[in-house]
Amino acid sequence: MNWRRFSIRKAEVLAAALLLLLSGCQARQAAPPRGGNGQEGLEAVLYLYVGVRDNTFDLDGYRRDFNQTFRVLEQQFRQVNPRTQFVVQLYPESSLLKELAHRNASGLGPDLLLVTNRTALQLARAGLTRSPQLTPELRRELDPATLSRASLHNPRRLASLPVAQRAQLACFNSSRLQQVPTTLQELLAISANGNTVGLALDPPGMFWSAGALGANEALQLAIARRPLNRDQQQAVVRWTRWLQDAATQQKVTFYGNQELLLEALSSGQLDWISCHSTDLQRLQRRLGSKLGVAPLPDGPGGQASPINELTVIALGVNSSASQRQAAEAFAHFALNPLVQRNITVSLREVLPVNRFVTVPAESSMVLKAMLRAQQQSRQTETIAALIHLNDRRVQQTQGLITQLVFGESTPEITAQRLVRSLQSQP
Amino acid sequence: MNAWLFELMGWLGYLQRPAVLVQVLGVVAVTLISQLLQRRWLTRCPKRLQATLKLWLTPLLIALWAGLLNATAQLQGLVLFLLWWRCGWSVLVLLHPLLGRVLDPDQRYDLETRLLRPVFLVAGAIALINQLDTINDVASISVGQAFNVEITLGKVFVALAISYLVIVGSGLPAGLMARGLQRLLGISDSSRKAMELILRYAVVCLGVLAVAVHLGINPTAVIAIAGGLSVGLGFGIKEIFSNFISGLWLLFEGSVRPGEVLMIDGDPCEVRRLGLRATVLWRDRDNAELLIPNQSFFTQDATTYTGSDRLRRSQVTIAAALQHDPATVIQLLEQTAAAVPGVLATPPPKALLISYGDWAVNYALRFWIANPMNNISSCSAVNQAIWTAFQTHGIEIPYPQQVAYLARGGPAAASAPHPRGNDDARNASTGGDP
Repeated sequence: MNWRRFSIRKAEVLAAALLLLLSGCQARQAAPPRGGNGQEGLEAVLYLYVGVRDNTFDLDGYRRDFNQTFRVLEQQFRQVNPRTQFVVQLYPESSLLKELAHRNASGLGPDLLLVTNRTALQLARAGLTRSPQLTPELRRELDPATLSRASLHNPRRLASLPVAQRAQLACFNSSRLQQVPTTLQELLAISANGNTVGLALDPPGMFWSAGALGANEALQLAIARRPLNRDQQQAVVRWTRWLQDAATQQKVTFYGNQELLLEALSSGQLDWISCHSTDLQRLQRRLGSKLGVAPLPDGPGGQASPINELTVIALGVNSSASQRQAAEAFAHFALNPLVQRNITVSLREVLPVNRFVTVPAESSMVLKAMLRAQQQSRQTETIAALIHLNDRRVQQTQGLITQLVFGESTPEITAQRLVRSLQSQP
Repeated sequence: MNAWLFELMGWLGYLQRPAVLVQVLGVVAVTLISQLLQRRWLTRCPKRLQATLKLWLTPLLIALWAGLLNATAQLQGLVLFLLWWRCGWSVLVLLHPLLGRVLDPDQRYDLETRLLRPVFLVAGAIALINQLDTINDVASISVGQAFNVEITLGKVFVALAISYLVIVGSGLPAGLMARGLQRLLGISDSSRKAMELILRYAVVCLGVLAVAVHLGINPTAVIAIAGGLSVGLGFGIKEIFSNFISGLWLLFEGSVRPGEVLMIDGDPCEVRRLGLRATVLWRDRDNAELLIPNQSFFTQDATTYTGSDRLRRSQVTIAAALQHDPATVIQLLEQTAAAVPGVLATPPPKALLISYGDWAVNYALRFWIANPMNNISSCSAVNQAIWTAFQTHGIEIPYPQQVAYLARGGPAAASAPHPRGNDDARNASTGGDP
């Protein structure tokens, strides 16, 4: 036999076998799930993209923690759908837009995305994700304000399904702090006594102090493009003055992003920082029992005004019919009251979004602090929405505050510019 | 291992998607069609067209497939990725003749097979994995633990890549550095080669250390490994280790270096490479390459012509007829040798009268040459020049001669004094080799 002819034949046979095998796989997965008794469930491999912060400190640890956490949820889901597999991939949130555009063009995009609401809205606006279906029962279980935050407004459609809420808190090294600061004055007092304090420069990490100094209402009005009266303008000045005062303290340091704050607290450079509930696991691993958690301090102007981000599930556009079905089923499953409660109680990292789930606050100091943060955050809905929409005014705010902190601008001028910036056309 | 397999199997899940399946099967189909066309139809084309089509037919068909998908509003990103990869391979093949213009065939072969093609294939594989997954996630998959250090796929890959690149890629920098040092210090070529090899070993050692540091292995653990290995070396791989150490020793000692000339079984051989296990020598006589274990140079005598310098003293012997004045012959021989190309003027050629033979006076002509490997050709040139010089000056190179006297009257008469002297003497001569 001619060798060349033989090898061509062999290749042809192999290709035909591959085609048959693949078409067989395809036919099998295209078949509807057997019965409705839940024994066989949905058969699919689901690709889940998880958004992480840029420059995530201890990314390997984060990946390990997430996998452990997610496996719990996966196992629960697989009790109902044992033939559904998950492949988890982590991406920095800032690169997701580009990654998804690239991968969707190949058909290799995700079926599910677990990201912050801000990223989900960006992806939905770019047409890189599809709107999830929400049954009337599920709609009833979710808070309308929460659903509104997860929706695009023009045209109005749901961009993603909110599944959890993370809380902004105060994290500290309990072995170094004699007393946890409950007010802004106490915070500056502990820094004067030698404790190191870290504050964030990015708007989501910094706005919590505006409420404590009474500037929150003024900022909300400015965002709504309404004029401010003298008292309201003075409240904004009080806030900027406090920020500058804090910056002049020897033991208070401003950091460019949240990850730098976490790293500094973990390594012992800082004693007190603002943090998020989803950072606790990583901090716990580094600090152990020395990690303390408390609500952010209030101030003379009122309560702290933390911005609690939503964690949402968005749906990809490349899924096959069975993958789409399984992805929707998983998103709905994550909203199940029992699952929501389990996640809240076992992880102590997120709060439920299902209105009918009660959080056993007395069982844990962390949960108690998170609930307090949830209550504090109700006053920042407008700012939170702006941040989620990635409004350019938010970025301008960061620039103005940075100039203030580095002494390039006075509190009065900064307050004036800040209000003008927020009142400008979005 | 399970995590790695799970990740690998997870990629197959993309085949559940019709859009991915269509792209993959399309590329497989057009590749097969291209192969069929090349084997059945391309052979009839002119040679030049054949070479071009062989390179570009498959990319062209893949591009057509991508165009078709685009025209029908189907996804084609994966096809475009495979197209880029395939075009890259064709460009790599196109580089072959271009590299031939600037590199020796051996260097080009090494560069292509050891660096360019492996790097291209590995980069392509990484890019493909990055299409299906994220490199960071794949790299973080644990493959086990060693000395309380978690070893991940990423660490293993980087360790292998560093080791490979250090071993393969250290040649050029080490060579350049050795050349630079040669210019500064004025050392010989063989010393430069030795230095190049030592530098290369040093780079490889640093690379191994870097790999250990990258893996996060504790230095104490490395010492423990070394301790364990020393026992193993004592028994199991004694010969290999002995050869390795011998090679290093020879390099430092300088007796056996690339470029040195040694006498092996009576033949001058040039040292080409001093390897980890064996030394490669080149024998001029039959263009053979000899692989001699390094430790042999420790246990056997060796003659070198390049120990302190590269000069060799050669010698030819010649016979001149008895009637020529030895002083004239000696002067002629010395003048003749001095005029032969390749024979050094200093030290000057020296001719000597060695002995008186039965039919000739025997002379030896000693002269010096710069390249010990050229002994045979130099001797040949000198011998030819002597023949020409003797012809010109009328000096006879005699045939062996013997005079025989025939005796009359038996042995007694033969022993008695002959009354008439040599009247009846008859000359007889026997021939011989010159």
